[in-house]
Amino acid sequence: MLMEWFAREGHWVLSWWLVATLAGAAVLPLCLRLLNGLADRGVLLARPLGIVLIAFVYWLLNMLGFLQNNAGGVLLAWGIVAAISSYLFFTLPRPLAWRQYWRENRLLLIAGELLFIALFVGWAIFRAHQHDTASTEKPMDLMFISSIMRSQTFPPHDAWLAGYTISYYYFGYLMAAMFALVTHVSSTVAFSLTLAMWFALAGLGAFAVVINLVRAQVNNARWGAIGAGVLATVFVVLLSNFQFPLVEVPYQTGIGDTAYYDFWRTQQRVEPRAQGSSDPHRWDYWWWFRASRVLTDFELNGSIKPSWYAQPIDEFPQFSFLLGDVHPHVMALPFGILAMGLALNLLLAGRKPDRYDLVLYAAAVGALIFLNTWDILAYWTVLIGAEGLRRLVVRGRGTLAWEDIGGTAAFAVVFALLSFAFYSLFLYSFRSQAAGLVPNIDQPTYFPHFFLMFAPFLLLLGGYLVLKLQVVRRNADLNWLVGGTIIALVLGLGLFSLLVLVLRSALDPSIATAAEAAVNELGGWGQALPLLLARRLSHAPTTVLLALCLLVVLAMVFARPRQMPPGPVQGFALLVVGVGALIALIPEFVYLADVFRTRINTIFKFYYMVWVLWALASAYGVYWVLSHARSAATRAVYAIVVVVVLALGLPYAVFGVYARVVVEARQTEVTLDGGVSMLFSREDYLMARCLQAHVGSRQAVIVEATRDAYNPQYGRVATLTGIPTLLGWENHQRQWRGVLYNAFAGGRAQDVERLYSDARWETAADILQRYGVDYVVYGWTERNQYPPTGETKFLDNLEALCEFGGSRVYRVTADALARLAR
Amino acid sequence: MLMNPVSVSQLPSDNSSLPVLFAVRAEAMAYVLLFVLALLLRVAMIDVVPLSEAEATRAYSAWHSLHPNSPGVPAPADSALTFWAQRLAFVTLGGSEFTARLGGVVAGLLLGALALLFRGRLGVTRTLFFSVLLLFNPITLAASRTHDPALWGACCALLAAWSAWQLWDTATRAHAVWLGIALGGLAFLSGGAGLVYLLVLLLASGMLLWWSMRKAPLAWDIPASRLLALAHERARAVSWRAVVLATVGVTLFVSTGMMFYPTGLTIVAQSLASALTGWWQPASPTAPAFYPFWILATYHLAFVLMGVVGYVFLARRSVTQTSDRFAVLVALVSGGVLAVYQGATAGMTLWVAVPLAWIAAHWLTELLVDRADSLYWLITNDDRRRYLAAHGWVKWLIALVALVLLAVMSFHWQAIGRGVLLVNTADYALLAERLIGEPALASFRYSAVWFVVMAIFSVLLGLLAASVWGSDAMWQGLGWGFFAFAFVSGLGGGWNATQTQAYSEIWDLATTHQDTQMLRRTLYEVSMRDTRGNPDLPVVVLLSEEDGITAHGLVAWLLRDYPNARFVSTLADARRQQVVLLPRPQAQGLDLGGSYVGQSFRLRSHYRIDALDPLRVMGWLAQRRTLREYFTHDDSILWLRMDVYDGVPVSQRLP
Repeated sequence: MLMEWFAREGHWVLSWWLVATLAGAAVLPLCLRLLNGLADRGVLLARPLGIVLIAFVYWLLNMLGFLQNNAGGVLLAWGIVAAISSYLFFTLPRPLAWRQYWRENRLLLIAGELLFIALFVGWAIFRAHQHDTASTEKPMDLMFISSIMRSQTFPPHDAWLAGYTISYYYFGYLMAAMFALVTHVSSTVAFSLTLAMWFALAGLGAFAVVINLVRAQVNNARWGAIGAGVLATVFVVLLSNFQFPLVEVPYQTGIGDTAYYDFWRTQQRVEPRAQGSSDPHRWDYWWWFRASRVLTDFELNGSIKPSWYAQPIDEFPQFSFLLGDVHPHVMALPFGILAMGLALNLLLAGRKPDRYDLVLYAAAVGALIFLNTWDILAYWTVLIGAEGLRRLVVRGRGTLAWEDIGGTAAFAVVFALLSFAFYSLFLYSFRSQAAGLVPNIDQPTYFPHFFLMFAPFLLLLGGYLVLKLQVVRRNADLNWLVGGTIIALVLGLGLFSLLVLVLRSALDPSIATAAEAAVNELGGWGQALPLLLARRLSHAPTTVLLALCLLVVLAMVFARPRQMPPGPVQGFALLVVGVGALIALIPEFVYLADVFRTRINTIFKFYYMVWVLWALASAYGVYWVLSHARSAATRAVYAIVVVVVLALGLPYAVFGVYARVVVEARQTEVTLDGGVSMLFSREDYLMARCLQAHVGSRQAVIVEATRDAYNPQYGRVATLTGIPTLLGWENHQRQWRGVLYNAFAGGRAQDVERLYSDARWETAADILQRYGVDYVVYGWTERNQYPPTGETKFLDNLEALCEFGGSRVYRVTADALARLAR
Repeated sequence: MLMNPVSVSQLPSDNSSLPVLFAVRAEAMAYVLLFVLALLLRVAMIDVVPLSEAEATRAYSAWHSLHPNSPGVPAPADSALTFWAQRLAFVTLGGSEFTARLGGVVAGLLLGALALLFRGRLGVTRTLFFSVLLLFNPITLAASRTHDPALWGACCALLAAWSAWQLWDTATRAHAVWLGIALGGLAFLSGGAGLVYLLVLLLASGMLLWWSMRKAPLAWDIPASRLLALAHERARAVSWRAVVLATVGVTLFVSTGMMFYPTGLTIVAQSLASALTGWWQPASPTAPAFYPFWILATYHLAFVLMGVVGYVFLARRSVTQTSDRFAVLVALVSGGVLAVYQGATAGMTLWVAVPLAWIAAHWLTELLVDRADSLYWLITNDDRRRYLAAHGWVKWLIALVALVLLAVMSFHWQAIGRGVLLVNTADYALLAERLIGEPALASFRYSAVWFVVMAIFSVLLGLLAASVWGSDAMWQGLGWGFFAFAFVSGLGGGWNATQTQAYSEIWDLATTHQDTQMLRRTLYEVSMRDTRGNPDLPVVVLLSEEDGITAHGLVAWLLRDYPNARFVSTLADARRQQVVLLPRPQAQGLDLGGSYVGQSFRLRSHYRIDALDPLRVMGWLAQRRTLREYFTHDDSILWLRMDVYDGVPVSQRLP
């Protein structure tokens, strides 16, 4: 069956591999010159670098009106990047001894290529068996890809709000659309292939970063580097948190008592299951979803918040790929890892970044603004930290002079300014739903949850840090003063922010009233304050652990060497650990205010970054401990820990894939095209494709039923075809456009309702004319939602087009609008 | 009164003390004459034959950029030079078949003028011949009259070759800039095929280096490695920065019209896409396999022969040069690429035609050099000189005789073709029987016999002439006679392809019918009556890709100045409209919701040359017609609503 599938759709897989490889080929000359700090000269990172630079050039030229959105434009952008790359190769004086380079790196390069192919093809096979495009927010992702593919000019139109452009970070979707345009596949096929491609890019990126880290330390490391690299790939894209082995498996199999679940206290897993089973076919539907719902917020009295409360999300990459949402945080994953690679290069290059480096970093790392703005916090910090670390290594004394601090700050400012300048056209039109910072008074993370989430890395990094501390102490004086000062500053800043925000909230009448009501519910401040204090103390271990981790890292980074200055590699690993700890620490004090008014998104995005950072650091840490620990016993114990981590963290991927492919998708055809299965009705699908063929590339507006978000039946035709509909998921439009939504599109939902429900033609004609609608969709969804009399007016006054069973599209003509109802 | 009388002969001459203000040389006169003739051949009746679908698509794209209100949706242009040439012509002279093709005229003349760049190296005579062959070549003529984008590519390629040659000798910045301009024009501005042609040139250059390295020890007494080192040295001496900047600059400035039309960069993008997709997507659905070779065989066979024979002749005389070898390689590699490049058009045969013209020019120049090497009884050089001075006229006599013989043979060839066409049978045996026995086909038998006799006679005459005046004189005469014949017949071929017999030639496999001009006149007449000559007629056109009605091609071009025209995709949108243009297949069971009067117009004819009976190829080559119908047609019907047809005043008509 697999061979049959490959014979049918293998050319799509091959063409995407080829496009990605050619994108990498375009920037290879640039990598060989600018990424000379990396042992492999950045060759393994060429693919994501090429994709992001080509996408940047393509997007910019489209936004400026030089290009139109078509395959030719993508080719031209490729050509421009290749030309600039070649120019840099021939003008920059950083020669390369080719033979020596190949001798030293061929094994790693071949391993990297094989790994990439295995990951890409492997996940493509998974997607062929599980090509779901209907659940959760996948229709939204598909809509973005379809919209961009259909837009002739930029900014691309929003197919779920006719007349307006996309108000979201759509760079990742643009990249997917570019692949689709060049390989001539539909958006539904591109959806599946994007997941497979990004899975492979992330895995390869992790491999590349860690092998370069290892090679920087031990130049002739081959198999050790490959092993560490593969481990990095596993940790980033395949490993899961410990929710599955420690909570989910006992729950589904019916072992463990109430006290056990009460200890973990995760959402929907507080009591044992009524009837457990060891057969995965009998487990709860979408049991694997619970791994992303580990963190739980509680009331002050200890009970879990009610079901309407938006609990934190704690995704990790394997979950994301298993779920299959092509969300910005997934799309940004390979490029965040690329940023790590570029930061490592900055550190290891042994020179001050010049103008070419700055432009490269701004274009490649600055792209995170456009991919997933949250990510700039982690990866920009690592990049700027790498510059500071470079200066620290150059000083060799464990301290930074004011000149170094100023230089690092200047680098940060120039880099940030350039990044904002490059992506200013996006920022100019982007409306964020963020509305400031909110103090986190009562929801610090419960340590068992933190442990469940990051246990693999806590164990591995904990061992690494302890052993590392011993080594550093032998050769240097740990700088507890600097570390302690910075920690105190950070904690102090956190507390200060908390107080400031509390005061600010108190000045806001609406917040003050709500807070007062909550306090009164508890019995007044006399009751509430002790509860708050008790909450912070009982949940303090997370904060303490992170602060301790940060302290140790800083003490080691700023350690004063007694003999030789510290090498940059150790510093980089510690930097990554430290940044991860810092980012995990922030939500303990503040979180970003949005429509949910909880820390759901802050935890979601921050913990995702922490996962990537700690995964890479852990892979390096494993290599370091197993190759550098003095005692064989230490190495043996640590190896056992690694095995345990893998044994507990990998089964999730196995069982998850099995559940998705065998249990959930057993009836579906093996194909990458998830278009048909998206809709409940095959007639609706055929109707949508017929309309798409009929409209072609012309401008058109359609109207279809709308109501709930997360329901693939609403906005389905627009999702599949990219043809703008009057309104798709209103909930999401409100999130994206904030307060402006009501001003310019607030009445659309009601108008759509009236259009379909009201039996009078005059009402319909008025609405159709007001919005310039060209086609009215009347299919399975409309038939089930609206009264049948609603269609009569369309039948009487409009001509049916694309009729499949009961699903049809009506074309709105000028004649019909002028005609009175019969 | 003169003190010392002098004779008239002692008086100073009139012009000895006057400054020379102006001197007209014969060469200049020749070029003026050539270019005037070339211009006339290109411009004469250029607007008689309607634009083909491909021409109309390109022209409409340029037109729509100037007139966004024009109905239809233009296809993305893929040749910036063609786009801007047409745009400029439309702006200055309005939109018409003439102005749409004017750029091709300019490109064709430019191609001939670019030959003058090589004058310093080739000499006066050879340059003149090269220019003649470029200007009066049937393929360049046809490409010029149809404004084929490949012509611009050929111009850029010639400029690139010249600049590269100059750079080899003197690596000056100016030549580097010219090279950059030429490369930019070829790769990015002349169309999708330009990039492929650049690859051909690069491949040929590499092969030339290899060939030269093999020849180096014997030809120039230097080791191959020395030649390679020399090539490296010359390459390093070139200012590649200037080349790159010039390429980027010319691409940017030309495609965007010096930044006044930023979207013009899309044309470059489309050009790249076309270059890529052409490897697997045919240019026309009815194009036969190896279509470019059909074109070469039909229109350029004589010139191909001249090139091949010419190179052999030059090789035997040991006068081949590196540039000749390069031309041969370009021709060979081009042929190879055209064999596999699915998107090859008729104009791309220029890739072969231009290098063959180079070789033929050299060959013709050599034919002017009299030699008496084969006359063994002439012992000394003085003997040879005296002999050649006395018998130099012989080659012209032989040439004249050869021309006459070839002309007569061609008459008989035409008669043979007519004869084959007269017998309507697919049975070879029956065909042979009728050709041999049927009294009505006596002229066929007569011509067939005479053709064979003439061929044998020509050979015998050639041998006789060689025995009397030497083989050198014989080959010279034969060569000149053949050239004259090829020149005249080739001109005729090029003219026929785009003018006289445009509808049955294979230069364009989907020729636009002259009915389209009648369609346009009809619409104009209705406009005169309805809207007082203003082109406000509300024409509704039903789109139908399979019947050849698209919103970006021929019909869009025909309706270019009717802003109220609309293209619709369903019949329902055309119901009850005043003026409707529908594809003919829609006429069956048609109900437009009222009374209409219709008139049929043929839009185009598709020549299914791939369906040609192999037996009739001879007849087709000779007569450009066949017995069976090898055409499919795209017909349309223009429907006028009854009130429009009857001339009811607009205010009294139904909406």
